[in-house]
Amino acid sequence: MNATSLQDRAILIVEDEFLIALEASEILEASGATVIGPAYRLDEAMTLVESNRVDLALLDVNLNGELSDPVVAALQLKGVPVALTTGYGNKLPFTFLGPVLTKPYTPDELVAVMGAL
Amino acid sequence: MQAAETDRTAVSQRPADSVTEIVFRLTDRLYRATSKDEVFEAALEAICEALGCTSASILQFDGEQVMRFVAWRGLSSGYRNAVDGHSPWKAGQRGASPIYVTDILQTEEPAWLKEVITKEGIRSLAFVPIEAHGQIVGKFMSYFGSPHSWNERENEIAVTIARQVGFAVERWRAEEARVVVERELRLSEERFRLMSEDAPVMIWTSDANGHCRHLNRLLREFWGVTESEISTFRWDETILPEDAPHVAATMAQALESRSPVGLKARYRKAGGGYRILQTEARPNYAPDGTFMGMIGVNLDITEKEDAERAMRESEARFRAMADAMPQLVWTADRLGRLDYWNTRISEYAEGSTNPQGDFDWTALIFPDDLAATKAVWEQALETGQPYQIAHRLLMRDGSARWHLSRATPISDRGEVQRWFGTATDIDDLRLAEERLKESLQRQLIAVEGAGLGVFEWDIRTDRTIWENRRMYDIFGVAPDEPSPGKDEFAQFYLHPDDAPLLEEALRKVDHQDPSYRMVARILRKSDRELRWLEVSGRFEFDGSGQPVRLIGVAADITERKQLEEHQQLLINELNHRVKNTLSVVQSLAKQTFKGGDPAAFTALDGRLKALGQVHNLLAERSWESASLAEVAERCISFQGADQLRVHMEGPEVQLTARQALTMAMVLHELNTNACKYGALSQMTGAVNLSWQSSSDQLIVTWAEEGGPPCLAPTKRGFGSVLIEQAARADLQAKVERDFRPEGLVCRISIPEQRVIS
Repeated sequence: MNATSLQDRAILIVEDEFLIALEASEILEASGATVIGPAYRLDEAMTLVESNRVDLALLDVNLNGELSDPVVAALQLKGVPVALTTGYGNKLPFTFLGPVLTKPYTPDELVAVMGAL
Repeated sequence: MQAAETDRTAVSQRPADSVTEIVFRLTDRLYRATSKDEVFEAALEAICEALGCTSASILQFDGEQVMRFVAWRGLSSGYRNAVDGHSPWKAGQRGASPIYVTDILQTEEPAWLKEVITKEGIRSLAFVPIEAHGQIVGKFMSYFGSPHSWNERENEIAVTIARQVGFAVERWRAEEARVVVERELRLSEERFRLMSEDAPVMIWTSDANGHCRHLNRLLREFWGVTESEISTFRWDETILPEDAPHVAATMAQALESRSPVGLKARYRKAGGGYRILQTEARPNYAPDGTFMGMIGVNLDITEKEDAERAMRESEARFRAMADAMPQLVWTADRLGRLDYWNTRISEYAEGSTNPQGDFDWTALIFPDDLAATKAVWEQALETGQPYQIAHRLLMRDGSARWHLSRATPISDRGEVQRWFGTATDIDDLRLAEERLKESLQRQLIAVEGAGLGVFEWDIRTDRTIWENRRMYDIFGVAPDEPSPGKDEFAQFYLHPDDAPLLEEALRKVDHQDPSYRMVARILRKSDRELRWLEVSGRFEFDGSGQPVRLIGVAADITERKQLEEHQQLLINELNHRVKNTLSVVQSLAKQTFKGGDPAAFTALDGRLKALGQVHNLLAERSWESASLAEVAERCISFQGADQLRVHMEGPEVQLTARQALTMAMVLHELNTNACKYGALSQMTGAVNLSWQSSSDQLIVTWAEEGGPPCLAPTKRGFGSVLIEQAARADLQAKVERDFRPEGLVCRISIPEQRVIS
């Protein structure tokens, strides 16, 4: 894994579990990235997508009962690479062709997936 | 007696002037006579003096037209009896002349008569007729004892005297007639008074000027006058001023023209108040034709007038009401002939009136319904019973609309007097009913599809109606069996352990909440299998608030119950495992931190414990919700802090499971800080934890006081991050921390829609 690949990248984190969001933020910041967010809810995420430069994004599939696919769509429209995380196994409730991180994940796994985007 | 030749010899002559004097005296005496006897006496005297005879007599026809002696001079009773009744003339004969007999012996009269006459010493006689109004009414006789030849002068004297007597008779007769008339009048007036006095109507007579002459008792009582006051009584002053001119004019006209009159007016009654009197009067004539005034009868028609007015008003009211009714209203006489209908008739096909003047209503009936309508109407007329029929009536625009026609007889002593009928347009209603029927059918299909049984329970009769097949299936009852009442349901079907549920559910019924719900176990009839039953419905109440009916649906929820039980089993297992996992994590942490940083371990352990406490709380609440007060209590108390030093105050607020967890962690961090550095680190310190609902948010305030002087932290620790981020992530809450010298004040503002009220 090349940590430098995340240097100065603006990474949007969308995650409803704030402790996980906090940890992910710390890991990615430690890798030199700038964290946008974290957004805990769908509407927060949408606002951040529209008002910030986003290079990469890490999205939880389920945001407190709401699916994050609208954010995925908005990011893909802008050409922003997206990785998903989920606590519900491999089966996704919507079609997604990018990388998926299954919770719990290790810091290395996270940095690897984000770096590969 | 035959008329004889007049013997004109040997007549003693009297001077003419003395005869004139005799006649004059006779006239005078007759004029003054006050009785019949005086008339006759004067006449006899004049005859004897003027004619120089010694005897004379006067005879008159009696009631039977027989000539009878009424006065005489110088005649024996034997003679009078013997010749009584003999007369040469008949009563009422006109133009009779005197007859003079010179010598009776020279006549052809029968011997016995001649003998009677001569025996009385009479030889010569004169028969002089007395006439009144040209008719013979009697005669006078003049007798001589020797043959006497009557000359012309004597004839003139006799005729003159007879004429005078005749005049006297005329006058006297007239007088007599007048007396009779007067007496009759007096008698008839007396009779009239006697008869009218106690008559049950008011009777009066007036004089020709319209003044009262007589008022009977009833009328005197009406006006309050005594008999002696009648002559001065002014009846016209008792008339209501408004009516007075009309009465005065009408009466004056009647008196003037002497014609019958009828009038109605209001008169003041003695003792006050006006009464309406109907007067009928006619002219009153005396037997001699004299106009005496009016005779009249007064009837008090006040009640009748009032009744008639009331009737007119009630009739008018009825018509107004009938016209206002949204129905066709009609009445018919007892024979069924229509005699009234309200204005709604204009909306219907035009009926016709047949030659007898009866309204022919058959033209209003839709032809297909006419036979049935006629049949019920004829039967109603025959039996006098009310009827009701639904039929189509033809409207003026040619359409036919369904109507409900009803008619009720109005009877008097069992006899039908009239018919009162209405026809109500139910066309729209009928359509709506049909639609409703269809919709109910659809609903029932839907209910059946949902597996719901429909029932109705009449509480007063304890009868149930099971309205669909599904209801029977649920209870395992064949569709032709009777459905059970409450007692049978409770004893035969209901599981004994659930019997109190039924009673409790019924006890809770009240007006405010008519809904009913019960979940209980039943034993199905067909196989006595235990099934779970859910019943829900609504009660209906009567006027006094008593429940009278329950309409509801029943569902067999056995499968659902089994699923729920299974789910509960899983949740319990999950809770158990989560708790276990937390314990394991706690143990791992303890072991891992052995020999490490004890402060870090304490912090982790505290957080895990707080998490575990709220987990337990939520497990007890099936992970549905927990109240803010409970959450606060659990995560503060376990740390051993003096509960009295944390005052909690706020309304009941429910949090979702996730919110409860977050709030617990936030409060745990605040509490930990307070114990370590803040108000709770000293015995003098205290914390006020309060929450209030404002218009759109819930504000939770953690306020410390009495601790050591408070300083803002120089670096952001994990605790601070946790408080802010957790609140923002899970509660969308904004957290403000104010490090006042007297103690920390932390305000957590949560948008209202995020909490369960």
